[in-house]
Amino acid sequence: MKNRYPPRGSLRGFLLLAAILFSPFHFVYSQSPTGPGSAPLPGPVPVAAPPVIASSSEKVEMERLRVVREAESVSRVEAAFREQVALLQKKLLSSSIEAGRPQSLSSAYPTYINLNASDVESAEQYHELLTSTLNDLIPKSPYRIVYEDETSDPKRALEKLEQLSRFREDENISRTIQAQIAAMRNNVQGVHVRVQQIQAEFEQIKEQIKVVERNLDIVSEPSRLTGAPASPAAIAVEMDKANKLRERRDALQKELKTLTGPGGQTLRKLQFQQLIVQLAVQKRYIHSLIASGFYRVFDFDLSLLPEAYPQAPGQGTQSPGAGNPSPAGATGATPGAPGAPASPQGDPAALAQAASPGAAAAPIPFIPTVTGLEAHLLTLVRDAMKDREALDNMLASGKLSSAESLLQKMLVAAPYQPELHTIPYEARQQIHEFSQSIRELSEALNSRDYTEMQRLADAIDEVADDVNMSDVRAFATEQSEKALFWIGQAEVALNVGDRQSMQTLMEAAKRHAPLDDAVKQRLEDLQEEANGKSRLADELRLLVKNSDYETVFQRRSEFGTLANSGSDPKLKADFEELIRQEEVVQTALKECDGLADRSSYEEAWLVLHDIDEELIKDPRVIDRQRQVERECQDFVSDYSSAVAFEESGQPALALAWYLTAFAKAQSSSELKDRIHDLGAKLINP
Amino acid sequence: MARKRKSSSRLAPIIGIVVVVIALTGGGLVFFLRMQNQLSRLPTFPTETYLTGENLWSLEDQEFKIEGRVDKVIMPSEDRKTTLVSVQPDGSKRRIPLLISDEAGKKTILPEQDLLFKVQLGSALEVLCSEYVTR
Repeated sequence: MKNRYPPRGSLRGFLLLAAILFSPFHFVYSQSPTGPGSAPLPGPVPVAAPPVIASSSEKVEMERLRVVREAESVSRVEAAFREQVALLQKKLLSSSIEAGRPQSLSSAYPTYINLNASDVESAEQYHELLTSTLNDLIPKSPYRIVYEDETSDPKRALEKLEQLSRFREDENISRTIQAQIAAMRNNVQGVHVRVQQIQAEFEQIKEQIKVVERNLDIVSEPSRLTGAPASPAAIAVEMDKANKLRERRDALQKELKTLTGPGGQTLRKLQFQQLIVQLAVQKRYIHSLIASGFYRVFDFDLSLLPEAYPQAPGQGTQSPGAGNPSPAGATGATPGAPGAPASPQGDPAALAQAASPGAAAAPIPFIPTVTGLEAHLLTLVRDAMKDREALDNMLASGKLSSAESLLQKMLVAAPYQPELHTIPYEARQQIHEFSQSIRELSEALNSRDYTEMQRLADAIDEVADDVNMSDVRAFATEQSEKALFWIGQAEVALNVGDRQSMQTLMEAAKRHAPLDDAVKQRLEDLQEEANGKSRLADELRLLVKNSDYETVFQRRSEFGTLANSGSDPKLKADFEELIRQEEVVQTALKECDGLADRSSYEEAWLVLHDIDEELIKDPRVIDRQRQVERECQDFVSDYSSAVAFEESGQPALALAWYLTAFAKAQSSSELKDRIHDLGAKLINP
Repeated sequence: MARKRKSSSRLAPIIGIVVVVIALTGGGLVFFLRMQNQLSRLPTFPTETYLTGENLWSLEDQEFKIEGRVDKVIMPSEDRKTTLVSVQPDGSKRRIPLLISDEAGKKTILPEQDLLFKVQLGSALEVLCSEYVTR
């Protein structure tokens, strides 16, 4: 009789049990699988689709297999992710030189890009004066608005050079040019004085040599008075004096040759040219052009003067370039040379000419360095002007990537040009902020900060028209969702008891979006849930061990997911058995109360008595049974007697007592069955 | 006078029939009463003693009467020769299962019938009814 559970309302109990077991716990996510055979997620991934009820262990097993495949596909998805990151990095770095290849930047770039507005105002004043100076020197200056209305004025240019030297931006370049010009002029004056000094000394030495030579003749002859032979000592003294005087004379001749000869003049001019070239090499194009202008207008450049190309013997005057200009001829035509020195014996020029070893040689060809350089520098200046115009257009149309690239080029090609240094602070900062945003975006991509990536992509798209960040934005969105999707799969793995796959998916999600707040929160929640499930599993095992079905039933919502995960079939079976036992107890108590309410105490007592053997000691059952027993003591006595006789093998007596008991509980199916069984045994021995 | 003789001759068969009927009825009644009297003389079955199950050996081989009401006809035997009946003896709340042979009485046993049973204990302490009459 005790095996006939449930005795009443069995279908209703079964349905209730099934609803409790499956409805709250068997949640699985109906997400598209991304197993080895499936394609990568094409778009937004459903993170937590409406749960479906896994109505059987087969579905749980299918979910487990699907999650395992998902975990196995993590490494493949991550490899594809790295490729995508590399492609995006390449794109970002190509959008900005500052962000992509900072090592290729000029060291002056950061300083330049951060110059404040007052520096620009000062630079504008300086460069206005600079270009004005250039206009006064170079007829074809690109800064001249109308060539015809302006005239060259070297004297005014020289005064402006003085003004330029007061600017900090000038860095003493103008002062150097000034000094060079002054040196050229002063040098010519100095040579004249020195030549005069040499000539005077030369005359004195010549007289002294004559005196010494005469004295030497005297001391070399025997004494006319005494007839004594000449004294060797006196001869030696005079010889020594004569030699010293000759040496001094030779030194003066050599100095005169250096001062008045063509080599010395050319050397000074070459030094000026060297300054011009140095400035050009330093990319100080306007300064170089100014120096070049002064060099030309002060007639230092012999190559541009007709006198620089003297007629060859028997020829007329040649135009520049028509023949081989001779430095020697140029020297003679130099306007700064104040008079010609005398010959070596009386004319220093003749002396120098005579002393020159190349006097009889062919004229040295003069290379017109300055003119060719000037043309090149003008071209560079014009290029810089065009670049600036293009840059302004780019900034106006929001082409910041191109503007940054052009700015870099200008900084390298013409770092001292006014076109570069007069770019407004706001424009430079606009470019700089764009580069900063690109760099931050690149860093955010490296650190996988998708929220920051989306913010920066939006900001860049807003200010820059020549870059498109929609792919970056889509990538960031997709990766966050991918991480959340993996967490969802990890939850499924936890629910089906696959801890290894859960850990794999959680780690993948963490690697994928380590800075995403939503991902972090869900990972923490999931980890907490997993930890809780471990504790829960231990608790459930303890309760199973103690057969505490009442507690298990009360906490069935906690234990249900764990037990039904399928990871521990025995635990699941034990859990279900405990739930069933509690269901039996509760059903029996409920039925007992209903019968007792109708004063059917005997049947109420039988309901509790009929409960499973292991449940009969339930304190609730015992207590309720005692309560009911007080109301039907005779029946309990009859029933107990019947059972006792039945157990002692006296079916007739047992039947008598069962019949007596049945008279008090005529709706008891148990008694009816027992009577039928015993009756059959009695009547058909 | 002739008319009077004629009417008395007609009444004679009727009277005869009535007499026969009365005689038969009376005979039957006498037989019934005699039988009832015989069962009534039997000792009453010690229901309480029987239900204790103690010292039942003293009841063996004795005939008892049970006067009571048929509580329930439980089942017939497989061979239909015996019927298991629950009987509530008069003055008791107990129920006694009786195995009634089909030769024990001619009247069909139905619930709620008040009957007088002649019983004795069987080998398995079952109560066997060999005869019953309506009370």
